[in-house]
Amino acid sequence: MIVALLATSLAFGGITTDSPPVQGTATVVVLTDGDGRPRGGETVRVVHRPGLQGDREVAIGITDGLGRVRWTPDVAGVAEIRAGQEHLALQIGWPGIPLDSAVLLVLLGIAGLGAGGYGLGLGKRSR
Amino acid sequence: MARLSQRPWFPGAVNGAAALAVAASATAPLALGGLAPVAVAALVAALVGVPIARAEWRLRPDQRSRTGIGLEALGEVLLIAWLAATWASTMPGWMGAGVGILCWAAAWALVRIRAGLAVVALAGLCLVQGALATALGWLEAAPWTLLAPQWAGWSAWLPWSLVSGLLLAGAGVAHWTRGARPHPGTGYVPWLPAGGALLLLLGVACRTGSRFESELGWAPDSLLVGLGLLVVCTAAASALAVSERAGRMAVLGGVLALWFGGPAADTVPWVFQVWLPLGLVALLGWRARHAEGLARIPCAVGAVLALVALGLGWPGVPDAPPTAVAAALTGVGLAWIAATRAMLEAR
Repeated sequence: MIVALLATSLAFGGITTDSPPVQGTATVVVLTDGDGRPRGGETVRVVHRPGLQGDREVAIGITDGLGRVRWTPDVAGVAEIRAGQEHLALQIGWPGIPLDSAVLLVLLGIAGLGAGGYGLGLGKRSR
Repeated sequence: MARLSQRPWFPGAVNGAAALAVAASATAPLALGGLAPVAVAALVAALVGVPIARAEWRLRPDQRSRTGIGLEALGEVLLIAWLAATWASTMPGWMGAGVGILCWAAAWALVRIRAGLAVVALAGLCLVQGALATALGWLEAAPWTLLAPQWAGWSAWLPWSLVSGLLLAGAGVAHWTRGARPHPGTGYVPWLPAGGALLLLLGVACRTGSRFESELGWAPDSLLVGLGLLVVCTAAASALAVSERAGRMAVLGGVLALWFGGPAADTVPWVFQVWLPLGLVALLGWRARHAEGLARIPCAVGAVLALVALGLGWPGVPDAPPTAVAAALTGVGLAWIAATRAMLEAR
């Protein structure tokens, strides 16, 4: 949350959001030029998971006369908003703990602990 | 009270060396598939790797045949090369090579002083630092973006998962115990390095993911580099601790650290994608042919998995002539070292 706020407030390159983005919650992306004037008619894109396998670029809209475009993120995590030559890295907040990743992490942790314990001979009858 | 190096589980240290190297090589596959490659590697380790290691643990290979000696020497050399290449990918360049040489020297010195204590203490330090790095990472940010499993892109990370799953249990190198002999009834020992390395792997994954989340992208992490150095040092000590040729292997490790840090830096991926799976195909195929009873099955399956990993992960012939020459020299050099050792020992 703090990082997202920081990213929003320090938006260099003229891209800001009016609130820290959260998955499933609408927010507004504002595009301005170097003098602070709104830039209309610019296509705004979002890249989810930039630099990772499974990255996905989505066009979220074209800015209106006030340089604004409404956006409801459908994927949480690290993302990058791009408009023209400018870009803004930010984090789209998770509405909750992602179950698939959390369950897999817990299962693998249990497997590791179990394997290690068995290898130490815990639970085996001594000869 | 018996020294740690005389305990019945101690020959499993070489399994630990292979397993720790897997934990140190996890960053690239995390970017490709999140927790998906880790899950597949854990599955391969449990279903194939550990059964192979248990079979090797119980059996004494036909050491007196030239092929058996040669393949054992190949497994030893490949493990050293893999550790050197793992460090070169963690800290590339000549400075990384220098640190790698010091790492091998330190591992050799520690093993000379007290082998058992050195291995156990270093392994404990790895787990403690891994846990600390993980906890600090979670305090910064939850690592969900990087850890999200990417099953659709399986062809990119499957080669790593298959080979790592075999090596998490030390399959293919577990017979390399010229020092302490495994005792009967200790066949469950290969589970220990597999489980410990899996926990360390998860710790590395969480720390990497937390940094990615907090830095909004890839950023240097000195804590992970330090952990990588400690892991490679521990793996080197584990590999040297059960060997009768510790000094020569340490020299080989240092030379390979220099080779992969300098002239052959661009060929580091070839160690993971070509030489290691190729060696495993040869080792496990030979083991499947000479094993008895049910032990043949996991060995044969392991050889097939290594072959699949080689096919899927084939990087292609390098475009740059110097890189192609370095890659070829690496393969020829490793085979020559193994063959020379086999010839000298078979006399």
